[in-house]
Amino acid sequence: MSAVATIEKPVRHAGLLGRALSFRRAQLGLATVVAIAAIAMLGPLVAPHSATSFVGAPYGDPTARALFGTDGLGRDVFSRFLWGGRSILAMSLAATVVGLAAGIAVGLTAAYVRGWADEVLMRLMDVALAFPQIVLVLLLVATLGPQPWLIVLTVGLGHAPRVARVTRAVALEVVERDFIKSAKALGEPAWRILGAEVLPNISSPLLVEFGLRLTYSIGAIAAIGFIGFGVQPPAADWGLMINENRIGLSIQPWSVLLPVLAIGLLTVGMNLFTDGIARASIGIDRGAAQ
Amino acid sequence: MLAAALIAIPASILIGVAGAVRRDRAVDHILSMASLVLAALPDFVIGILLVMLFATQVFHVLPAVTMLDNDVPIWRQAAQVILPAVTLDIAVIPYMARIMRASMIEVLESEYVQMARLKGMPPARVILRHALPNAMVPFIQVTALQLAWLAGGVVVVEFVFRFPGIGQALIDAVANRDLPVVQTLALLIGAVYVLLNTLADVATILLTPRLRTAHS
Repeated sequence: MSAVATIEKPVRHAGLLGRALSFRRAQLGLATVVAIAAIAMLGPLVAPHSATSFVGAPYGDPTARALFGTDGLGRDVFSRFLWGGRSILAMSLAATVVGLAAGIAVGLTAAYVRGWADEVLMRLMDVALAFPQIVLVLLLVATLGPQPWLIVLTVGLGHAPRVARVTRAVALEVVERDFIKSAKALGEPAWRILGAEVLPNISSPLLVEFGLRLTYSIGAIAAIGFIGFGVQPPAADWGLMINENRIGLSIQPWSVLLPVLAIGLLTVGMNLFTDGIARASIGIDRGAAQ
Repeated sequence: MLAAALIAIPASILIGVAGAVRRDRAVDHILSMASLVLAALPDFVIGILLVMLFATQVFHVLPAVTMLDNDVPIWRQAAQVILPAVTLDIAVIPYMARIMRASMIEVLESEYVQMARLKGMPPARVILRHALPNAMVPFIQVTALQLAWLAGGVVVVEFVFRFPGIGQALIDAVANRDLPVVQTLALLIGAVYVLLNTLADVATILLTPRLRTAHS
């Protein structure tokens, strides 16, 4: 089986990422993402105060004790900022993985079985595509309450239709190749063919899709936190912080500006990096075709 | 939100065509970089940055929250609508402009455009009369999707500006667990989606002679 699989070499990720990083935009993007992710992951370790302790008067100006002032309840803005990235990062990553897994499963199945099952699956995806994600989330939150797992699941499954479309489109061409026929002739089970033979050959468009979906997940999760249905107070969360403090925007801008900048830089950085991967993978595919 | 749509469509056509005509020159690079950055920013981040820039921290020229008076026609209180409309525009224009650019480039490379140029037509006429109508087809599809997205994306932007609209109503209803209202509003937004997609299909058929004459 391994001999069969090596006839067509899957694109090596090291090569793809290396090529992507030859674009200056992609370098800039990756650096931004790493910096913000580091703040989000390591922030709680260096935060001067806990996310919920009161350190001064509400909307206080920056002092030595509270580097970026205090929020509407007198909590340290900087500490809450350092604490508040984890939830967004973890939830967006989880949502992206859920969406990609579901989308890839549907797309691969549709491309492999073809026929009426393909039609049914893809029309179902079209129907799901015709509904705004944020409204879907609100609909479910209204019935089940603001649970983190629910938000991860809906945002993730909201990505699935688009991922399924992309997966099916690129997999259609791969399943026609000879090594798939040989694998079938050797009697490999379908899940193995899809997982071990088809999947590695469509990995670079899927990597681009992952980056794109992650960008949107961050935006969506942050937006849900912002409108108040994500992480519930008193926990710290970038989206929630913006919501809590925007009333005091004209007296204490830091409590809004810090999380807004973090979310903005994270999504922009992610998009720039993904754009680099996309450009690099087009280059590789062209090289392979020639 | 009609205001946003009215600005977004011509603006993105213009930006897309400008990028395509000046392909790979400085203008194109700047436009594509800007659209890449703006496309990634979540809509509420754009909204809040605009509020900080024009309503609270830097300039004090526009209202930070929308307080519409229902008895006064909307064009008399246009200042109230500027920030929300611009926010939505910045959120949708990058996608639309990118599609416009891509399809315009494809059309400009086609043989009939080359033919028109060889006939010695003025470049402006080639672009407007020969290339643009054909480049519009993919653009219309994306526009419909983006405008439909506006119906949903408006939820968060309305919340930023406290705009008294369908999105704000939906959020309030969810917060109060007011299920019938949530259901109604979700259904309404879904209906807008279906309607816009149908309109886009009709417009595509009207613009494509092959489809227009298929039945006769």
